[in-house]
Amino acid sequence: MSEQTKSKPLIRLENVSKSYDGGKTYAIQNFNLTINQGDFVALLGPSGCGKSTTLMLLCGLYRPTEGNIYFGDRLVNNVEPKNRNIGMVFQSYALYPHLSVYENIAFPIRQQKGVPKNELDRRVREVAEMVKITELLDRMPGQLSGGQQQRVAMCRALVKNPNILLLDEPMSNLDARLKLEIRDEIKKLQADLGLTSIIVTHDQDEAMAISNKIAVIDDGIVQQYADPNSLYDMPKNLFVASFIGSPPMNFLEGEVEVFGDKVKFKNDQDDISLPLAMVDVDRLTSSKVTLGARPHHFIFYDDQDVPGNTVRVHVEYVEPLGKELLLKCHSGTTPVRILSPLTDREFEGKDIRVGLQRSMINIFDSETGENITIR
Amino acid sequence: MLIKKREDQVKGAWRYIFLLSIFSLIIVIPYAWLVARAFTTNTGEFTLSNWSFMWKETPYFRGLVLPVVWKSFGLSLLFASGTAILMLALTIPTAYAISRTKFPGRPLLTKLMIILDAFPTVALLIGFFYVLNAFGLMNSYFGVILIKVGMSLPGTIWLMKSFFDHVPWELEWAAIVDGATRFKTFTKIIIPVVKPGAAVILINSFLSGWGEYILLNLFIIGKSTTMSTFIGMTLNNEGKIAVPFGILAAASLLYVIPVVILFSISQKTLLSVQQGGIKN
Repeated sequence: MSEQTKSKPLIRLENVSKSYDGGKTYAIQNFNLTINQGDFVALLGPSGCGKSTTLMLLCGLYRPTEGNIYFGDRLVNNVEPKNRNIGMVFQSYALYPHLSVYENIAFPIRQQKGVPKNELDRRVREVAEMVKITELLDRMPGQLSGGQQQRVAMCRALVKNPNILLLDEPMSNLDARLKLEIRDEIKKLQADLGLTSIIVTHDQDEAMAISNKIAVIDDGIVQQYADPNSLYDMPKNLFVASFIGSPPMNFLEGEVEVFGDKVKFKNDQDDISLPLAMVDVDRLTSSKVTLGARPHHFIFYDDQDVPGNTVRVHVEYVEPLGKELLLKCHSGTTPVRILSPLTDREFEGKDIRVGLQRSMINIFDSETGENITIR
Repeated sequence: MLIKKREDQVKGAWRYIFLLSIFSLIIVIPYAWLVARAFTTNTGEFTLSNWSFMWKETPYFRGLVLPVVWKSFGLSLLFASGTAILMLALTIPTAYAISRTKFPGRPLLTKLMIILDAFPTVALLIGFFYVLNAFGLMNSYFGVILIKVGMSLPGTIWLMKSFFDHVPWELEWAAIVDGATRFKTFTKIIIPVVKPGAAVILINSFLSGWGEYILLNLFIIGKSTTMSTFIGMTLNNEGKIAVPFGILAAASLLYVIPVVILFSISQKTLLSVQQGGIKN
C-alpha cells in the first residue's frame, strides 16, 4: 500500500451526536474523529463515556441524532449495516450457538447472494487458516474455550473482506496471559491485512499496545486524539493525564508567579522554579495550576546532597515490584506515588526530598484543566 | 478412610433408591396392570381379542356400540395438532414482540398475562357457552381449540418470553452486521436458539389437546368422538364399566402410545439447553 492511500481519510465523524431519549441527554455530543486508511484506532474511556455508542454508530446499528458520518466520500448516516462492508467482533463474541464453527464463519458469505459453494468453502478455510483454527471447524461454539471463541469471532468478522474491522472490547473475557497473546495476534493480523480497525476498550494498556492512534473519550466528547506516545507524554488536559498511565500521574496543586525568565510553582510544601519558556502563561486563567509528574519522573539524591527545586514527601510504605520500588507517599495531604530504581535503599517512614525531571513534567491550568506546558 | 467414605455414600444412595422405588411403584403398578390386562382374558390367559375393537366393523360389547376407534384416534390427533400449531403460531411472534420491543402498556400487559394465566378455565364455562353460540362456533372443534388456546396463551407467551429474554442482543446485532435481513435473523438465528422453548410449548399443548375431555363433551353436544370420549363411552350412565376390563385396558393403552412416542422423540430437544457462544 502506498503512503498516499494510507493517509487518506477513510472514516469521518462530523459533529455527531446521539441521544436515546429525544435530546434530553446525549451519549455522545459534537463528536469529531477522522480515521485514516490503515489506522488502528482505539476508543478509550471509562464505562458510560460513549465509546460503545460510537462503535454502534459506525456499524450502523444506531443512527446519529445529529451530524454526519462519512466512509470515504460516502455519507452513511442511514446506510444499513449490511451495506457498509464492516466486520465486527462483539464483546461476548456472539457466536451462533446452534451452528458449527464452519457455519458460523460461512454465515456472512451465505447472506451474499450468488457466491458459489466452492468459493465459499475456499474463503472459510482461508480465513480459518489465517487465524489458525482449521482443526476447530467441525466443533460447536459451546465446545470451545474463550480464546478459541474469540478467534472464531475474528474469522467471522474477516471472512467477507471488510473495509473496516470493529472490535468491541474483544479481550475483556480472556485471562491475562491469553489477552497478551490475542492482542499480539490481532495487531499482527491488522498490520498484515492493512485493515482499518477500531477497537473499543477501557483498558489503557491494551489501547497503548495495540493501536497507533488513541481517542480518549469522556462524557461523550473526544478529549484527545493522538498517538500513544504523545498521549502519554503530553496529555491535553487533566482527564487524559489522570486516565492514561499506571500507576497514574501525580498531581500537585499550587500557584504560579513569573520572575524574569523563571516561573515559580509554589504551595505550602514546596517551591519549584521552572523555565518560563516551558509554560504558556498567556493561557492561564488564574494563578492556580496543577503540576503533573509521572511516578518514574522523579530524581533521587543522597541525603546530604539535596539541591533546591525539590518536592518534600513522606513515604508511608513501600511496595517492592521486583525491578523497582513503588513508594506510596504524601506531599502534605496529596497522595504521591513514586517509582524508585534504588531497590536496596530504606524508604519506609522517612521524609525525603525528590527532584523532578523537568523536561517530562506537565503544567495544567487548574480552572480549565488544559495542559499549558510548552515543549 | 476414603474407601469408608465411599461405602457410606453407596449406602446412602441405596436409601434414596429404595424410597424412590416405593413412590414410583404407585405410578408404575397401574401401568403394569394396564399392559398386563390388555393382553389377558378375565381368567388370566394370553389373548389378543381385547384389541378386536380396532378391526371389527361395528364393535359392540354387551349391547354397547363403540364408535370406530381409528376415526376417534384421527380426530384426537387433528384436534391436538391443531391446538399445538395454533398455540405456537400465536405465541412465538407475540412473545418475541413483548420481549424485544417497548410499547405503551407493556408493563400492564405483562402483569395482566400473569393474572389471566391463573384463571381456571372451568370458572368460565358458562361464558364460553354464550361466546361460542354468538360466533356460531357451537358444536365445532375449531371453537373448542380457540378456547383451549386462548386460555393457555398468557402462560405460554410468558414462558416463551423468558426464552427470548435470554437471547442476547449481540446475537441479533451480529447477524444484522453479517448481512442478514431482520426476517432471516429471526428465522435462522433467534428461532433455532429458542427451539427448546418452542418444543416445550408444542408438546405441552399437544398433550393438553390429546387429553382434553371436559370442553369437548360440553361444547360438542352429543357427538364428540375423540379418543378421550371413546374411553369415556366404555362407562355406562351409572358410571360403571360397561365393557370387559380387557377392552378398557387395551383402549387406554392405545390412547397412551402416542404420548410415549412423542416424548421419546422430543426428549433430547426438551433437555437440550443451547450453551456456549455467548459469555456473560
